[in-house]
Amino acid sequence: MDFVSGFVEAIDYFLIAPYRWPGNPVIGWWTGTAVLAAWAALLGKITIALVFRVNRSYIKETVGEVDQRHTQSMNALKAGDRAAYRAINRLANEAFGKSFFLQVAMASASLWPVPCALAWLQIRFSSIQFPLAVDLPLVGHNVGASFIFIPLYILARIMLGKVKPRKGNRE
Amino acid sequence: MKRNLKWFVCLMVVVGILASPLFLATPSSADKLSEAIEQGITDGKIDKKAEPGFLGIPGAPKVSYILGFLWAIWVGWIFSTVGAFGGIMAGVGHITIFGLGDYAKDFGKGYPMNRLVTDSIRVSNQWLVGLSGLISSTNYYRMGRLVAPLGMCLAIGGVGGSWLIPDLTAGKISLKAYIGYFGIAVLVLGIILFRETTKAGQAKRKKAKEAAAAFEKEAKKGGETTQGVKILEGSWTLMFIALGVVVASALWANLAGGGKWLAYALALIGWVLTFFVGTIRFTFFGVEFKFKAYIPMLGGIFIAALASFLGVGGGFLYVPFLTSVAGLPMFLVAGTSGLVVLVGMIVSIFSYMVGKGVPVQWGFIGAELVGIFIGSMIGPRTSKYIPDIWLKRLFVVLAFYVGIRYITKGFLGYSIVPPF
Repeated sequence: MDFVSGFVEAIDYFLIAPYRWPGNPVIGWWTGTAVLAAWAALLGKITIALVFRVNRSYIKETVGEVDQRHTQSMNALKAGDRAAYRAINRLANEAFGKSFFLQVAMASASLWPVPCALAWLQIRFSSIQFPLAVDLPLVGHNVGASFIFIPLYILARIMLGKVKPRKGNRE
Repeated sequence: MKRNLKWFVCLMVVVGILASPLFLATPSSADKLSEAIEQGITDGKIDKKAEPGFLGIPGAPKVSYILGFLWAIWVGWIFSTVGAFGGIMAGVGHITIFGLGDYAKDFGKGYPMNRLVTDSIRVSNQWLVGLSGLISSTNYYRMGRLVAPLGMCLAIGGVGGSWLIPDLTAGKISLKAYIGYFGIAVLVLGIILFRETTKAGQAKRKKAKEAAAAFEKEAKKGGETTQGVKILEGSWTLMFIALGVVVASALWANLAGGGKWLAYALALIGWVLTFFVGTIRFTFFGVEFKFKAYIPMLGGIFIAALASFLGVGGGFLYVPFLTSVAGLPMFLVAGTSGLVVLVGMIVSIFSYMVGKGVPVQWGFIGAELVGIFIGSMIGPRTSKYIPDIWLKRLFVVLAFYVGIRYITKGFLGYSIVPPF
């Protein structure tokens, strides 16, 4: 058994517990999936906060360079120096590329729990189908566990965003 | 800003509608997969009793999560030091490092399992790109740097391009050919990087820096940094109709059982309508800009088509296209392109997963995301010890090696660089 399979097995006991709290299986399903979504959102939030903290000075530096180059290019344009504008815009573009991909890579810190939760749901509940009121094209009249998890996760993210007011500059 | 907000909400609704069914793909994916496995067993190409590997296929390579995680750290490191090349490296991992490429190739061209694994590799890449696009576009919305007409024109091209290409190529491109095309893209990127490291490229850069320094004083004065975008001219009605028509084409192509010609016709109508939108004029930082609506639309088609075909994000192509070809300031392009990449990737993933029933291995994507953000924390700490120019040179060598290897493997059947 590899490390990941072992890890999934270890946390299985922890993740399945809320599904068993209520006696009713339907209420249990909703409770368990809501708790799973809350964990995924919280874990993502903690990780991204950690990554931002670790990389703070570097982000500030790269974003600062992007801002500076941009302002320089706009000044060149306002001064009517089209050639300088194009040249500085290229530098701004390069600085942006660096900053953009750094933040793209860091963004995965907030989303990694989602596929992990989906993988766990796939292992645990892939055989269970939930009937829909209407027949959807290509999907049919049954949906999988993920259909319920994703909206709950989005809801958990929104609620988590409201719990703690953001301070300072997001950049 | 109010207009930006409306535009953002509209797009998010479209994104939401398109995104939610992606996760419903399990029943149809399972069917496609089990059909492909069954056929493999019948033809004697899959041993029923072999241990299940990738996607649960008996005898398929067992993709090590640890290897995926370690490779993703490397990808995250590249993302945070050099940038766009990280997407290419993610693709290299899926094709070569995890052994999926050789496995799929063994089934031969046109065989269902070959097609399924090829498309699964593409979708896995797209998931990584799409998830990143989601976060970056949210950030840029917060910074107020989404330009509605520009985003709409890009999306008109991009949405059409990102469903048309998967539709025309999914299941028709063998892994061998896919590797060849992927190699061409890597080589082109390597040539672009190489040009930047030459004496002429360095001199150009030095000159640009000197020009930037000349405008430094004014930059320090600041003053106008709060000025946003103000639209002066542009046919909103026509743009909305054109965008609605191409989104309808994507939905029709993915959800309707037959009448594909209607989807093609709708995409074409949307694109033609953009030519009648005319010129869009706006001010940004007090400076007036204008662009023909069809320019970003055409760029959107080409870039989204290429991005969804290769399973990589188009972000690294959108930005230089609009700054160099359309001559727009970087900030206007940057914020908007993130959103277009996201919409394009969602439509493309939707086409593959729901329309074509291509499965992905969720746990593996999770392990990769963890690796990428760990890599993104290592990158900034190592980059100060390695000069930019040497980082670029390192990736030029890598791009040439990977590009030549994939092109020759894809189109000749063997690699001219080791391992052969």
